[in-house]
Amino acid sequence: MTTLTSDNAHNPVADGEKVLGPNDNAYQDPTHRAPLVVGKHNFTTITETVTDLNLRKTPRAWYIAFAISNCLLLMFLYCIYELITKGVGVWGNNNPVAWGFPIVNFVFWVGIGHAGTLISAILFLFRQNWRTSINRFAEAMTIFAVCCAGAFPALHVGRPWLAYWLFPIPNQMGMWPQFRSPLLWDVFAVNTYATVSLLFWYVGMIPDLATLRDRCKNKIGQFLYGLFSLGWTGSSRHWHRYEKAYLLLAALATPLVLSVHSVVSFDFATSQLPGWHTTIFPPYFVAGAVFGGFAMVVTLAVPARQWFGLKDFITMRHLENMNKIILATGMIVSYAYITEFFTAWYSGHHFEQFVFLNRPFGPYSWAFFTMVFCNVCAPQLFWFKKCRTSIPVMMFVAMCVNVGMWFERFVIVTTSLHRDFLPSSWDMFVPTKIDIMMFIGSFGLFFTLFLLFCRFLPMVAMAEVKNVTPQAHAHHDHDEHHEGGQH
Amino acid sequence: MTEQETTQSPDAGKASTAGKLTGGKLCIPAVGAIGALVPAIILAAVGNYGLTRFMFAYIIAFAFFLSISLGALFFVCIQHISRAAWSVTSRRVAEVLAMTMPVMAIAFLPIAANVWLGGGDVYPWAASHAHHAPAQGEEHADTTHTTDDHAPAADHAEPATGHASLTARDEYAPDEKKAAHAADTASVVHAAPAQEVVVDESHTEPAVTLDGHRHIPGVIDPHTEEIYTAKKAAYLNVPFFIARWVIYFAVWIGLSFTFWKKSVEQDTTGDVQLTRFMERLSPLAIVLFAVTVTYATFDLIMSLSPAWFSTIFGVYYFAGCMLSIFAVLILVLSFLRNKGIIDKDTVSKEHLHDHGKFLFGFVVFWAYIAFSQYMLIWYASLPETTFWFVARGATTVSADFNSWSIVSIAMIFCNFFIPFIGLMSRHIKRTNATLQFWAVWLLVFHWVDLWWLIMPEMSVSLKVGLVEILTMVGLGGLFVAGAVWVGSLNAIVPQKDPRMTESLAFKNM
Amino acid sequence: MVLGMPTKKPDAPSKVVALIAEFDSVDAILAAAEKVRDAGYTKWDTHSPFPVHGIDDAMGIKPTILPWLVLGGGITGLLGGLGLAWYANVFEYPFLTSGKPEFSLPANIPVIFETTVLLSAFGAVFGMLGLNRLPWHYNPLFKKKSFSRVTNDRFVVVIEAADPIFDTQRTTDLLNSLSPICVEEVED
Repeated sequence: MTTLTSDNAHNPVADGEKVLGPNDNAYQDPTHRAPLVVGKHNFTTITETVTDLNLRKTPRAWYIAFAISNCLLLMFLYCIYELITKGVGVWGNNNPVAWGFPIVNFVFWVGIGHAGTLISAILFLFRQNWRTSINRFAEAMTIFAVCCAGAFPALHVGRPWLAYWLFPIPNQMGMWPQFRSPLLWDVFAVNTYATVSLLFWYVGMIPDLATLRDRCKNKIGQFLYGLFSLGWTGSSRHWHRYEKAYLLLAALATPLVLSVHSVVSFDFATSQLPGWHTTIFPPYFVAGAVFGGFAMVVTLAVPARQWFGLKDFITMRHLENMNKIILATGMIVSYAYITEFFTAWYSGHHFEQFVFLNRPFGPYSWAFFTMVFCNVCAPQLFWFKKCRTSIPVMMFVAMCVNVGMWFERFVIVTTSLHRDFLPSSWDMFVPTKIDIMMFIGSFGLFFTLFLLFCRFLPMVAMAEVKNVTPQAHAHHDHDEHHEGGQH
Repeated sequence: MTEQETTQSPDAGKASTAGKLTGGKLCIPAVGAIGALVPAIILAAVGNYGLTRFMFAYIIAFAFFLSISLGALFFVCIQHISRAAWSVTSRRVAEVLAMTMPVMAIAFLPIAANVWLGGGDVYPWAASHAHHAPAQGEEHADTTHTTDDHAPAADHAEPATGHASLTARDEYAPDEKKAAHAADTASVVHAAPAQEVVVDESHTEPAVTLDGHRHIPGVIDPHTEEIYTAKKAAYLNVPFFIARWVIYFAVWIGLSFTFWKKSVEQDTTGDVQLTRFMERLSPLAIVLFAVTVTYATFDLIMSLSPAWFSTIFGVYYFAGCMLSIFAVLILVLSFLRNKGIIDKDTVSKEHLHDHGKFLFGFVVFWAYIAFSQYMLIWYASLPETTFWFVARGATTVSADFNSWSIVSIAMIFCNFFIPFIGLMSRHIKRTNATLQFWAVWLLVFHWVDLWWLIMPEMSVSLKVGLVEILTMVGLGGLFVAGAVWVGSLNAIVPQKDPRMTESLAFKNM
Repeated sequence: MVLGMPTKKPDAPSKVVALIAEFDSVDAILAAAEKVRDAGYTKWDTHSPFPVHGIDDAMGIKPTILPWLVLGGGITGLLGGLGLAWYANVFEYPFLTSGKPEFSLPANIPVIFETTVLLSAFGAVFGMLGLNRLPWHYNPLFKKKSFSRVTNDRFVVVIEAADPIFDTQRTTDLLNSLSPICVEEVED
């Protein structure tokens, strides 16, 4: 940064960045806002590009992917069958590690399910218009991840057919749930989150379903898209209330998304267990969830924009922005790790100190260092613009974070439990085949739902993308480059 | 203050119609206000707690104004990192407020002096400085892997070796600690009463120790505190404390100065590369900010009770920083608009509305962090951390209520529910008078929050009076004088920011 | 939005219920909306593929009451959550656990928060649908060619025959004066 002279103003080369082609919008020029959609797009081509993905003939690749996902899903169903017929003994959970893979997988999936609502709600409130290209499928991802997450605690109750006991429903035993228990808070938080995310997703989709209704040629499609678009006409009087509802939903979903992972963290942090009982857990879990969620969005967005021809909508700048969020949340997670270690020492309590020595130096140190490498070290690459805008690097980091965030939950759950206060009860946790198959199988559920979504529902929020193009604003020829609000 | 000197930039497209602050008239009363510290010291000196009272009041005031400076620094960073346009016209005020950091460094000197010379009347761990208490943590270091039951306070009940320092410290120890120490040297175990199962009749009176002395809920036993203090001696010691504060202020002053200097430079050069430079500096600045603010909070506030710990504590203070900066920005910008120093279109109703939204957002964020900290400690009910809340009367056990309880309960309403409802409406955020009212309200209760964090470490019976008010006036004078002086050096709105046109055109949805 | 409601008896199937004018840009629809508003029409609407910025002013749409419905939902959720926790754990099925008082506000806040958000969200979504009178699947507009691209790339103005100052000839002239792509009559 030695060339701080005004001669270099407006010249990206002087800033040490390569000059990008006309279709690249990842440049850094404070005098111009980058376009959110690249290529020569107007309302018509936006509609056509997105709806063609649903209205064209199903590509063979989709069938192959769907078949693979279905195999994984079948494996998941087989594991559930094993679990129900034989009992939770098929899992590796033991005493003292009574919470093994199920809770790890639950927290992992709920975490993934945070990016979608974050993109739709929080970025909406912050007027980050670049969200419009990615919010739809990120929200879909959220809902499917929450489905996967919900499966684990429901199965972990032991008798899943009695899971309705978790709800405050009057019953013949005169029993009521325990409202002082964090596990019940989880029931409320996850169900509320799933419901509100679903509503948010669906409300956002109504105008796009109407577009599909009007463009669909086959009868079944017309009927179903027509049914779910609720007779939407694009009336301005409707849009007025619709936009208000969307804003209010965003304002509600923002604290909700923070609350969900906070409540999940309460499951741990309200206990008296060293390594779990720490006050930073709520914001730390939320940051971790956003971190893991965005990594999953990048993991899915990179192939999706390639295969579905959405590069004009999900541009390099979108990916770069997501990578910046991964870096930011990764730094918050690292901050929490450091604070935890410092406070364990600072507390002066040797149980606290023991747990935090056991993590890096105990028998699960391999898991701990995997976590540190994936969550702390790998995202540091994103400090460099070259890495943020390189597809292989971002896929590498995103995969690292996906793995690392799973291991973070594994480390938290296992290291605190396996060596509890009484050495005679110390034990190791070893996952069984069912544990591992079930975790892999849950990806089958996730991808099956995701592929169905890609095939039948609009993957990009057309109405919202149209709304942030220059043509959507009156007299656009005068102030074109000031619209869009990209950062 | 009504004088105005419009500096029209040659570049009409990017210029804002902002005047310059001419500070003289405000600086003099502000500097004069510093004199309020003198009666504060005198009043405190004749009171029950002597100069200790003054020091506690001083730390509250210091934490209050520091939170504004820190909030301003973070505000500037976050605007650059997000490449925000809406805030461009408000940014200079924040840069100037962040530039009060050197003044805050001077204001820190009395605290440093107290730690160095005071022998622990305020920071108990500083007592060992004079006496070089052996680090008792050593004897327990090898017990890390032992498995005795989880009652750390009882665990260390054996006579500790460092009690020589206790005697010295007791000279200065606050009343309750002194009383408790004199009363029951034996009763180390005083499991925080918040974990009592049911509130029964026998608990309506304060617990009585074996030798018949009153035990005051929430007051940690001096032995226990001493043991834990000694374990932390590697961190909580006077030279390291002062060295850390030198680092904190070096970082904060360095960052504030850089952002301010580069921004001011752009006023004349209009160089876009300066914006790029600040955009690149801001992520690094935030990393440094996060680390320094966390440890500064631990040092300044948490270590007042050296046995206590909470990992979220840095975030809690950060929430207060953000709350106070948005409140101050609203008030300062409104003031400058009313005086005609900033044009009403340059910082428009739209911009103030956005500040109001952030103010509302941080009311919720503060509540979220405060609830997380309280609920987790309350729920787990471990004596090693509950005592801190019991000292503040923040307990669900009615026997442990004290005079701070009313403050704890009032804070739930006054720091959260009332401003939450008050600021919810768009109309209120877009009306100057109501927005300013809530800004003032939240600043007052931000002070209450800090008072509630700090003062109970001196006394578990509620203390507030002229000493606190005069100290706030005195330090406030110093802060305002510094800010006005820096603010008067340049235009109070950036002149040639590349996003100025966009900022001026900004409208809410 | 009164269209779609059975304002006319079905015994006159070919009766004109509205006039529709099609436009192809945001500027055109905004200008058209201002003219129609100034001409004094009340039962009319514009339709667009996305919410057009500034159309509320151009049409004179008043702010919606939706926030009040959300507030109502929120208060119901708040009291409901509070009541549920109290009813279940204090009144109907009290029992002691982990030394917590039967009614422990700190421990009840998460559930109360969730029910508040849930019912507020219901208020927002169902309130919006209710105020918009959706779902409403039959609509004579759907039969018109010039309406078929309104969810894609076109903008239309619809003036209903039910409007007090509607007159087929004069209204058609007004719409034609706005330089639309085409003007069509809508039959029920």
